[in-house]
Amino acid sequence: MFRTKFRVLRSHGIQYIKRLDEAALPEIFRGRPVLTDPAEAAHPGDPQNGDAPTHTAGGDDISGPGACNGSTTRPGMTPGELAALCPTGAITATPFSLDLGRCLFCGECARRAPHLIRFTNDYHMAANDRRALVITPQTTALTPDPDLVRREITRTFGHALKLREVCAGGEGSTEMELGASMNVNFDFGRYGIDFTASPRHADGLVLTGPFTENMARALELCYEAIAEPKLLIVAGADAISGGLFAGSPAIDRRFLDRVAPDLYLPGNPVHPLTFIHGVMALTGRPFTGKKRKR
Amino acid sequence: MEGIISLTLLVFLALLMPGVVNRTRAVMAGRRGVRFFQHLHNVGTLLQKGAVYSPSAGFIFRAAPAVCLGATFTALLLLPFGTHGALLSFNGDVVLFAYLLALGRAALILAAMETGSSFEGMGAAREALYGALAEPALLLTAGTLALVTGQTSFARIFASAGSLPPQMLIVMGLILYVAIKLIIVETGRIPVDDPRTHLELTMVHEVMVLDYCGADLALLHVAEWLKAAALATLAANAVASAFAFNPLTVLALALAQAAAIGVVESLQARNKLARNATYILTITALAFVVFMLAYVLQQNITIG
Amino acid sequence: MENFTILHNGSGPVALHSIPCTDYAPFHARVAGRLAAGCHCAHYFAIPGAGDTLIVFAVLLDDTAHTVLVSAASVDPETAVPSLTALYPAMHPFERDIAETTGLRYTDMPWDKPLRLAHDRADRTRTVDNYPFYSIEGEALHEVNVGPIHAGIIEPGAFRFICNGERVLHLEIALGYQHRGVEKLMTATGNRLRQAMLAEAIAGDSSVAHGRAFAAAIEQLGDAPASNAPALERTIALEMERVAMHLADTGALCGDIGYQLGQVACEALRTVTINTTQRWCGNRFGKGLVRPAGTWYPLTPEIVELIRHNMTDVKRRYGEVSANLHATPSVLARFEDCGRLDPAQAASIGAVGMAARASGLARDLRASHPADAYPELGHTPVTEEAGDVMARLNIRCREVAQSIDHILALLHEASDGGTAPPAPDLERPLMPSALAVGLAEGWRGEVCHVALTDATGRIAHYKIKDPSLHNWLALALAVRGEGISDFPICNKSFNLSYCGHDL
Repeated sequence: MFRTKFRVLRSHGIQYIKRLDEAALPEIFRGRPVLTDPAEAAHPGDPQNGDAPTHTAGGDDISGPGACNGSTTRPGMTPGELAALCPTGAITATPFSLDLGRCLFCGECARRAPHLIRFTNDYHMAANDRRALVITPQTTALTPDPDLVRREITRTFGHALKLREVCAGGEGSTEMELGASMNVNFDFGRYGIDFTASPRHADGLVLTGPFTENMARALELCYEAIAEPKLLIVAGADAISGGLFAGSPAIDRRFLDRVAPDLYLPGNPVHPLTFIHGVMALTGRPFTGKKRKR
Repeated sequence: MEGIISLTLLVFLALLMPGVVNRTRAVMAGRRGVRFFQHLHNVGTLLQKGAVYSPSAGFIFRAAPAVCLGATFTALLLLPFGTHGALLSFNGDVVLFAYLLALGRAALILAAMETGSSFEGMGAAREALYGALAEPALLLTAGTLALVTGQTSFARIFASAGSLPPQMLIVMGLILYVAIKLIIVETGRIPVDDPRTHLELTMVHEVMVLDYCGADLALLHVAEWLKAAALATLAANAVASAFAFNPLTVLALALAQAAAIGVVESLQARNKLARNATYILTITALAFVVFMLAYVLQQNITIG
Repeated sequence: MENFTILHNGSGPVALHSIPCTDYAPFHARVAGRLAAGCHCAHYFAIPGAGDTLIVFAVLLDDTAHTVLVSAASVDPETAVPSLTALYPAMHPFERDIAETTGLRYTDMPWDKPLRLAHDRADRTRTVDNYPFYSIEGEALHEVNVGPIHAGIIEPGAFRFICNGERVLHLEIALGYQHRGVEKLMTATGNRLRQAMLAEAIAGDSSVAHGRAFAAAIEQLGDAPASNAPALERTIALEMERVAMHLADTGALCGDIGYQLGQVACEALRTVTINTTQRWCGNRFGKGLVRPAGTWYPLTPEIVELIRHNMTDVKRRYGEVSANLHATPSVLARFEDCGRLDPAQAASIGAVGMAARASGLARDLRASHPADAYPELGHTPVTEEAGDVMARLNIRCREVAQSIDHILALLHEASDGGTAPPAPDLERPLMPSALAVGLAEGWRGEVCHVALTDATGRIAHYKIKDPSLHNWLALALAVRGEGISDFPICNKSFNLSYCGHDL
């Protein structure tokens, strides 16, 4: 028995990512998109100044060999066509914008209109203002606004934060990524953040899923069971806006009319780094060094 | 004066032990792990939070955390730390020690039953059973120490411990082993219970505190640390008294016990709940064997 | 076989008018006859027909003949009809769903309980708050209620235990909290991309499996050339999803028994696996990888080498973890003889996939109805006999090794060259008034999507079956007689999907 334990420990070694603030995701990861104003965008077919989509691996040009129908792979869709294509209606044609609260990061818009939209691998996408999630050609970065954070949050939760996760219709991938934030690689426990079993022990609620009608009451009861001060985080496109399920009669999102979230985390699913960076920014912690007094 | 030093060292140990256990587990898992004093930050945050009481909670529920902490703290007053004597000492205080710890547990069990939740009821039933099965082990351990030194007060047991013959080191070593197991049972660690579990159906100790929040929960956490420190100091005193009886050795032995618990938690799975009763009875049986061994060794000495 | 349309997996759509549609009584008899002969039911549903009638469809799988059998019946919803569940308990989720959504009454339904409390259910007085749990009277036994919100980071569902002290006598599982209305949303849109993403969102941990079933149904209806389907990419993606989830489950099982070493080792291995998927397609769960008639993420030499390197590493390290689990007495003491589902029970409730294979029932679409690259792999299902938690863990350990062997074999073929698959085709028109069946063997079990088009070629009905629909009852049976504190590991050993069941 000890020989097998030794082998596992030896292969396992040290697993944690040492500097989470310097972690980078591969180029192909679809993170924060960068939009170009349609009036200024290069004509499709002009030499791309670094705007080529990063996800057609193997160097396949979207209009190159192997394409079957011209309409499927015609480059250079207009904003209006993109708005019709988007599965959740996240793209608005005028003014040209992309709502990260609805975006499922499928990347189809960037494939069809590489001159207008490009997804970077920047996972910093947390925001505490719903309107800040609407990306425009002027958006350069996305980070929670410290002035909007309630004072008691930074004061109370600077060193220890216990969260309770409630899934209200989530399909499971964001829940698994939240669980992965606790694992040996991401290990957000090092910052004093933890998920807890009881709402009475929790300082805040993390919600995933579009909020089904059948979960509406259970959700309210759980939120009320948490002692003040408490915070509310909504994780994933489904939770922020209903995602693919917005408009379904099986959904009941009135909870969000009564309680305003403190943090929005886009993603499909939310990447653990997005979650960790978002919570750290919300509670005002630096990744290294001492907490700054505010 | 001596007593105050003992108490200070005990509380200091209580604040260090959770950190040592967590750090050991983190190293064995290859993760960065929580900060060493994260448990203090958690309690600090809890003290700033408000309280939410369910409608079925009565005065037992509200009083239990204070009773638990008070009883555990009073038990600490009876323990010496190395050569420093205890604050309180009288004949038979070994029994009072055991029953003060039991009083803390009883308060929590009653509070858990008052909430009317089926989980908490189950957890309370389990805790009551394990407490009842483990109590003989604690009393037998204290009894062994009383037997070999002829004293019935902790302060006097350890004061005269320096004069024991070297054979007693075996007995003290076994007492250390039983004490580590007792700490595991009393503080609910693997293999008896998993303090990090989120599964209410499998909880023993954690489910009883499931309905507490804010300052109440903070008091209960502190009570847990103090209890672990008390039992560890008891064993560390016993072993140290056989070779090098000074506070530094006692501190080192107590922290070594914490590290051992951390290693056990990393490499072993927890028992099926149905097997826990047998596991705890085994510890009690071992404590009985230790008692008999001490008796036999002592008889040899008087005859030979 | 009279009165059944016989298909093979992926053989193409069937015109609706060519499916034998009779009265209910002969339909009931022939479906019962096929079930008696050893077929199992992939799907069984009702759609509105002409006038006020209902058309009930049965899609059965014959594992020995490798065929798919389709038949239909026309029913007057005002009359009560005999139930198949009374003869074959395995039909219960389908008939309960039909009763719930259409209001059709069965004369002898043994278990008339709500299935998922869909928003379009016929009886709106039934809600999640008044689910009719089986209850006892008297003082000797007690009831424990768990849920709907569970303590961990997991989906909601209600469990009602009837216990004698610590021993569970009976468990009833009430789901429906995750119901989002996926099937209705599928038919409400004409945007094929939106439909593909809805398919992937049925159960996030089976995105590739559901995506593959959707793509197969659409490709058949769109008459896409079979050579366009990226068989290698799909098979590798499906097997990588299986590996990732088996690793996650092994780690979670270790976590639930407090065995830290197993838990952390599996967490790290799962990260390696899903990060490999992320390097391939930009998403850790493989979303976007499977689309109809093509893929945006062909296997390039760099990706092939990356997958080969990482999967070889995972296989070696997981082999060590598996050896350690089998050599640790405290782990074996928890898992062995716990949560047993015996083969007779598994067969009678129609268990599928991994849960069935752990009880000796060799149900695996990769062997019985192979498609994509499975025919050339010659897959043999992994089975165990004991049916307990240890058996389900063993299945996972062996399937990881088997899946990685499949992946490495296919990578070898991929690096031999060949044409890259085409880009996905989301605008292909669909055959009108037709039915197509899309199948996939996900890591839990068989996934079945049935798409029916109307006269204009729009998808009029889209019926989804996730393997969890069958297997939730397996959990309820397996836990009987166990201590209630062993319920979490029994639950985790099955790891069924709440959202896949509730749609």
